[in-house]
Amino acid sequence: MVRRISSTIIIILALLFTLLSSTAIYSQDNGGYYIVDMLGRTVYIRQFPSKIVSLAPSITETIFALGLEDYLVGVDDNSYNDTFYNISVYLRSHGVESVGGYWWSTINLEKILALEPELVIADKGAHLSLLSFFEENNITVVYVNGGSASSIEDLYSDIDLISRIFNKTSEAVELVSFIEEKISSIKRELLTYHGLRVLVIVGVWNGVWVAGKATYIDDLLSRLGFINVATVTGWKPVNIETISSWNPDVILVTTGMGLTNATLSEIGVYDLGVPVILLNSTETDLLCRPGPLVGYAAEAIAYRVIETVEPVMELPLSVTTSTTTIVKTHTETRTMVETSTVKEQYNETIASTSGLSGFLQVAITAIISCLIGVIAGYLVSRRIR
Amino acid sequence: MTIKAMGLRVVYKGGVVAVNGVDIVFRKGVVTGIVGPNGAGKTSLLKALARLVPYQGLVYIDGYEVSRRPYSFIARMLSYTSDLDTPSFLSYTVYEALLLSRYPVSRGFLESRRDYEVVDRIVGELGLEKLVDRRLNELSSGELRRVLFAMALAREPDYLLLDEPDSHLDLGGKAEISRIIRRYSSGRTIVLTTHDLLFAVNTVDYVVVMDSGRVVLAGKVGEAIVNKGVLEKIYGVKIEAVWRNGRLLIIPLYHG
Amino acid sequence: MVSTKYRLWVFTITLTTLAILVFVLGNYFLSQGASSLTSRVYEYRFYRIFIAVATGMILGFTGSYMQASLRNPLVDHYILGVGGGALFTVYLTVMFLPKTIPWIISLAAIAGGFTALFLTIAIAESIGGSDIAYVLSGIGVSAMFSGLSITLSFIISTKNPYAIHLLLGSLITVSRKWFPAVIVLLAILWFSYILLSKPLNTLLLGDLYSKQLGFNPRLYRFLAITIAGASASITVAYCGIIGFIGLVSPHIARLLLKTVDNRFVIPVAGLVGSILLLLTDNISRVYLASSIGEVPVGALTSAFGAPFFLVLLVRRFRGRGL
Repeated sequence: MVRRISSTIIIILALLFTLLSSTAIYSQDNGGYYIVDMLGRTVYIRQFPSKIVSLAPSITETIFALGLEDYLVGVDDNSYNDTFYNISVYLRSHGVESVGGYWWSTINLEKILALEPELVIADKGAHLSLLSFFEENNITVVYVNGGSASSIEDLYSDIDLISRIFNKTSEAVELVSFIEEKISSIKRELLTYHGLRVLVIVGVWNGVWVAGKATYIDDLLSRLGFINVATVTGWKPVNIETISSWNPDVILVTTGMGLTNATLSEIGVYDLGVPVILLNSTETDLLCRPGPLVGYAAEAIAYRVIETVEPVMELPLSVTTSTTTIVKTHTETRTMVETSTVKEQYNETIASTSGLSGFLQVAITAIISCLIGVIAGYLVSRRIR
Repeated sequence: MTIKAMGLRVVYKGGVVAVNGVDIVFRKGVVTGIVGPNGAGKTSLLKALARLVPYQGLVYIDGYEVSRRPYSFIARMLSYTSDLDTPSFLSYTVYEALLLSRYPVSRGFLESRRDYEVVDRIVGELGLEKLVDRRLNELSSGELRRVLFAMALAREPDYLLLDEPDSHLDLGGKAEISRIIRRYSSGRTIVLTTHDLLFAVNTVDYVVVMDSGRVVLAGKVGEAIVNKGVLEKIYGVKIEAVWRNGRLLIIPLYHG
Repeated sequence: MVSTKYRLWVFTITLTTLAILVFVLGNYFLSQGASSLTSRVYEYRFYRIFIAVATGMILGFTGSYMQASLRNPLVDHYILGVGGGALFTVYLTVMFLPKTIPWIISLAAIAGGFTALFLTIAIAESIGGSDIAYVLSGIGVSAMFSGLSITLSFIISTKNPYAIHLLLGSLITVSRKWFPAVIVLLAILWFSYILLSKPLNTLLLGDLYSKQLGFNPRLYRFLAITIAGASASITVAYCGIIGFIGLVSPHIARLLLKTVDNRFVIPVAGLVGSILLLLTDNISRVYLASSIGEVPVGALTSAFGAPFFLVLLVRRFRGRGL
């Protein structure tokens, strides 16, 4: 009887120990501020982060455009070879490392850890699955819209968000207004193409992927006065019949990912009888990065369209766009939690142990639990006898 | 040390009555053979005695009424032997099977020295030394029958229930098994079933004749079996009973 | 004759091999470019090693339980469809659940796993109940659930990009929230191993012999299948379907130990499972991560395990012993 009680107690204690060893204790923080990122997460940022990792080329380009490149310690692989802003040259000469990617499954997580970044800026579409990794390893991460940007406004919000982390809001305002102006001026040049039915194909894989509604490309096309014929929402694959039923006047195709003429003709894109514009790799990069170069993307599209297609309208209409209005409404939009010196209780659980000792704790718990299981089994089997 | 059955009935799913009310006692030191035509209920009776199939009525082993007792309790007292139902590709060695047969009496997780001693002794007594490392599925039927008997002995039970211990054996094999059974009969209660009247008559002390789930004849070999009228009726075959050298021989005459 | 001492030696050597592997893989294989071994790298890496060892052990145990209770050396949780069923219900739950709550997902996984297992057994028994029947039935049930799961995964991947990786089985996505569950599973498995291994041994001789040896075969079969099914389902809940470890480990254990005796086979199978999964995950994590990107470990185990399984099938058909 006594033996039976003590063995039961041992088992219960062991299980409790197991459960408790996986939980955490609090740790305190010191001086910093809060930012709400594009996932709606409230992120606590310690002072001005001086070691950043960027996980997407659009983010890297924004960082360079805002003059923050000195703070970079790591970038994704696509950024590492980015030729705009002389990024690739700068990175190599300043010892900034590539952590793989840009897609999440090819990112070398250990490398990110080894760089000990104070801030990681990630794309909420491409890197969402890494969120728990960042949280568990105590890495401050801020998510921007990136490829999930549903409009150019979202793109501006990204630039704004990044700029506020580093207190470069005035540079951001300049940048945004520059982009806006560029887009507007290009739109003026495209007045005779107002209403042109355009379709943008971004890839062929298990279907033809197009830029649908509520993507930033869709918004860009609208701002240029075009009509995006795609009726689907987001980045979606469709088949050639659907494209045909949409009746585009011109089709733009981004290259890269092995998308070649051969593939396109196989799919039947050329059979539609619609002019097809194959964007070269520079134009593709410009268009596919939801970053500060989107103004140049607009430019590139405009020139290619003009040289390929005939105008659709005879008389130019006089349209005025107020660029200053656009910028002002943008900076007023988001009501974010501002920089606050009030310390709030942060209820995020953080592992208190570091390195080897944490693992040893877990491993020893496991081994002890197994041994207790064995001993308990033995005791019970003796009783059953 | 007896097995006693009272009012034993075994009814299988679908309403088939295999054993239809049997009262019987098997005594210590006696080898009893249950014979009868196919479907007479011999095997079912044996299984019921070992509590391997559900039954109605009462079974007492050593005075204990067994229907409430756990399998392990019964296993310590008796062992039941029949054909093995092993998959052909996973098998124990003979030695392992013998040790395994000691599970009911072997305390503890691993085998004890006593377990090894008993198994070694039985291996010697039954001449199984050469077979010890062979796998069960590699043995010939004669070898397998000897091993099965050894397995039955391994836990030194008081009761041995053997279901057709002579099946699949040729004459030599049957003779050998018969000798082995007789050798171990003293101090134990052995009950066996068989199709072979000659084997029965040469091996057992008592004979129980069953037909259609009932016992129709029971008694010492010399006396009972001579009542060949009963045998002829239930088997439907003419039988000649002959005494030769003090032994009774049962000879079926197939063609009249 | 193979003695108990020899078998204990095999156990010890396997255990030591595992320990050495853990140490080596933790320290030696620095990932490319990590210029300094910071404690965070250690932490991440060792947690990953822990989960690989633990999951491999769980799979080795569950595979042994299933093979012993069904007397069928061709099965594991993937082949019997338990994995597929569990994954399907996990997907359903993830679709509706805002965040990962281990115990809810575990319950869902177990429900799905047992449904699939029940289906497999019912179908297999109705077509004769032979070992091949179980494999056929299991693969059919598994395929059905996989098809459903793949369809669901497209819906889910917008919400949770983990989805596809769960289908193939991956240790990338395992968060520390699952560690208590894993440790408890291990304790339960070791506990049940002590109680079940001798009864499972008797099952091999047939139900009749089990009973006359003093063990109720249905009870022990039920216990073994239930524990194995639940444990396997829970592994699916946190890391998806990692097939063939449960199939292969008991075989290797039997080969090394030269016996079918579960008292030795089960723990050694657990250790072998740990070693196999650790190695495979390491290949995926260290070597492939730099070139192709981390391949889900389930894909690798299938690549290595499936040929092994085919060899087993052929030998079975040719009637040779396994």
